[in-house]
Amino acid sequence: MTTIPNEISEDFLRRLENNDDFDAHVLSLLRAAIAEGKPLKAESYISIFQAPTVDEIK
Amino acid sequence: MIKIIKAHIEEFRGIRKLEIDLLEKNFSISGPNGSGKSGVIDAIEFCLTGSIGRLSGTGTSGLTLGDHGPHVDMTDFPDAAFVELEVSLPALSQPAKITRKVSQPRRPKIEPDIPEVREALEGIERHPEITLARRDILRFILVGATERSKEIQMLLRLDEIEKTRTALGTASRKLRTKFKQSEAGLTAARDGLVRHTNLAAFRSTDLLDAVNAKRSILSLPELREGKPETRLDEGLEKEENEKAFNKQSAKRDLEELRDLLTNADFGRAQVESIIQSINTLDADPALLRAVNKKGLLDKGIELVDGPCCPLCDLEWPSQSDLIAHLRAKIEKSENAAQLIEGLRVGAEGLAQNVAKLREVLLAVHGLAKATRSTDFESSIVEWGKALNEFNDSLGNTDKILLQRERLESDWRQTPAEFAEQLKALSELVEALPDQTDKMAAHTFLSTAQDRLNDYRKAARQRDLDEFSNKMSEIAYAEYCAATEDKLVGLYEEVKEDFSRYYRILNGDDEQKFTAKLTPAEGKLDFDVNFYGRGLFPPGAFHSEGHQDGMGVCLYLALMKRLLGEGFSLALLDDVVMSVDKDHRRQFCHLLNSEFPDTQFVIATHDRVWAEQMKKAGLVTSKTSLAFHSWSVETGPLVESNADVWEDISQSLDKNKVETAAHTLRRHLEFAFAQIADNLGARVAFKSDGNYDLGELMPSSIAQLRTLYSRASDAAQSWKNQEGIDLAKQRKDALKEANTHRGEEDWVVNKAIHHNEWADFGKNDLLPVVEAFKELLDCFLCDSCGSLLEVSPRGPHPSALRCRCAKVNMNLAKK
Repeated sequence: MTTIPNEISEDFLRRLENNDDFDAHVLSLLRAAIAEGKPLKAESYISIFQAPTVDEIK
Repeated sequence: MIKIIKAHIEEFRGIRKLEIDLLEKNFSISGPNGSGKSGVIDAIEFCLTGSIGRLSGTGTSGLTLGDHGPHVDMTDFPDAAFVELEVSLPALSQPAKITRKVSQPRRPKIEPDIPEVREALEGIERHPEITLARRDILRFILVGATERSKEIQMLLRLDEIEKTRTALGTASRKLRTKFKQSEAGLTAARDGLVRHTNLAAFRSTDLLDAVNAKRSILSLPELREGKPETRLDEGLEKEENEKAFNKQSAKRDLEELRDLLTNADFGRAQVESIIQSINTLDADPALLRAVNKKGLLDKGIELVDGPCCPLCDLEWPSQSDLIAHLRAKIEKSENAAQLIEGLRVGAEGLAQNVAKLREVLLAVHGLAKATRSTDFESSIVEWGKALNEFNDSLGNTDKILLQRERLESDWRQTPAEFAEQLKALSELVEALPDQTDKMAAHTFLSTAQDRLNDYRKAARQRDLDEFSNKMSEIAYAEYCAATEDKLVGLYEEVKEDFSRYYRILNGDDEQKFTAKLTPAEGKLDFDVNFYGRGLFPPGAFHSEGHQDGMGVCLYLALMKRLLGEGFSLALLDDVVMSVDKDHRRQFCHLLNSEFPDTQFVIATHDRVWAEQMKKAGLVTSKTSLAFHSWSVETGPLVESNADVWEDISQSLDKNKVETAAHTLRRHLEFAFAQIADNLGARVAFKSDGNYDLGELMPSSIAQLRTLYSRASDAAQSWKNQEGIDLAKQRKDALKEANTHRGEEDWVVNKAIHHNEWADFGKNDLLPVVEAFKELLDCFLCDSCGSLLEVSPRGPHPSALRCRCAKVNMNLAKK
């Protein structure tokens, strides 16, 4: 039984996937964290956005 | 898609033991207040969700499932309190059974324990809102916009959305601050490298020229290009004295620090900007509040349609006055937002100065350490820590406001003695002998490499933070966009469904009914059309009955949107008590027509409403249950309980005389009320309709006796011997039964009427029970078991009959 927050999360991830400026590795981490189903706090998001990317930034 | 086939409730809330066949159909439970109806709703809710809504929320502090879930006499034995539901699921060919004990509310026993059942149960556990009580309606209808928004957000799980949005926003702000700080760190690191190499500008070629000039002194190969891995000190032998420093570079570092300490303009512009913002905010505290209201005001001005304020209903002299007022407020909130932004920009600028000061301090710290100026070294470390704390405060608006005093004096807060210590170190360095060219070149290259390392590290950090900041900004913007798209659609759908349901409910007089749900800034305004006179809050003009109807309609619309096809079960606890009988009929139609696949379990204290549900086809006799009373010993007592004599017998077998006496009394009260009504027995009128057994029983017996006499007279006039015999036979039986009942009056009076059962044993009460059973049988048909009744009802009945017509006695003479 899907919920409205779940529907929004799915749309959110879909939008990020279609956004060329959004990093695919960060998206995969975000997707995995959301899939766990636990509420994420600001610090969790910060950790995800700060995660080293596959292609290291020079 | 769970539906309930059967419920077994034991020692739960006010219920001792109760078995109900719901048959997967709509089901009604009626009975007077306090008869145990809500206990059934609680029990079903508990078994499906593991909690009871009535024991949580406002005004329930101190109430817990463990302490208040079991029957009051079983609070020490929560294991005995349990509910068992037999349920159906479309995916299963056979029913499933769910058993939940109060002692283990989170561990229901599921049979068969298969994923389909478990998943369905978990789905319902996530939606405890399958239960709606009248108090819940008030949560949606008669509360303020902010509270309503919260309640509906809770129902639709939208509070999770707001939490996510806030978390993403906070993450984005923090990462932006971090990015700005790392940008400042990079600038400071670059300045440190430029100062050491004494370059006019920060260019790669200039840096290589300066470095190669020193490398040639040391006969080191020329560096032709600068790459990320290039080392300026490549080939340089490690200096034995690791603390050696380049004297000229050191002098420039010391000079720079002196300048930063004494330069009154260092950070002044940023500080003045911040102080100006703080002063403006201090002078008008409403500005800060205005920032939070801007979105609401923007929406409000869009909604203006006349001189009445769409936000607070205040009447203004004219529409233009109202618009001017809102524009002034919006302007104020825009000014406030600009001020906050100015404060933030000023703080970011000052943070760059802090970073610059920290970079130079770090360089001088190296000199203090190399020259063993330990006191100065300690001073630098302490000041560095203080500057770090100050820097952190610049990343938070609330903390910036607390820095006013520091900003108004000297934001640097240079430690006492620091200038003296700096002067001493400068003199010490100045007094050092000039370095040889080779030594100077050596220390120049090693320090240049150190500072290049710092610069590269800061650049990498800046790039990482820029990346994180960008990701967080995109994520926040996309989440807001996804939320807005969804909620706009959601409220539109809910509004349409709500309006349609309400029109069905009030088809006769509100065909033009419309509603408006307006989300704005954490609020949800809800306005309804009042007979074409405009949109108003629900409590403004509509009656209490209409408000009840709105609450149910809004609930149904929200549940439909929330659960879709999964809305298979709803527990409605006395939710339409203020709706009149005509509208209740329409309510039945609404449930039948719009929710044919949903099983509604409806509790009501109103017997008329219970009957209406049957007549409207919402429930049947098989799928309705009526309680006539309740006691703490027996729990709810069911009307027309075919098992009442068995229940009494079982109580007596267990020597529970008190329980048996109670059950008997409640059954007699119910039965003689029905009998008196069926036979048209005469009792002294009471406006509250509250007749007791002592009034109903004698008049019912007398009335039946009279009716038998009339039947006998009528049969004689028709020369109907069979009728004469039947009347006599039944009259004699009634006389005998009443005599037996009278012989037990001493017990009846004490045990049944006056509740003095403490001294009675099983053998005292048993004859009483038998006497009353014999008496009640006189009012029944021995074939179909129904109570005899006169027909037609009223002062001039022509027949006394039962439902199957085996007893059909003519009362009219020839």
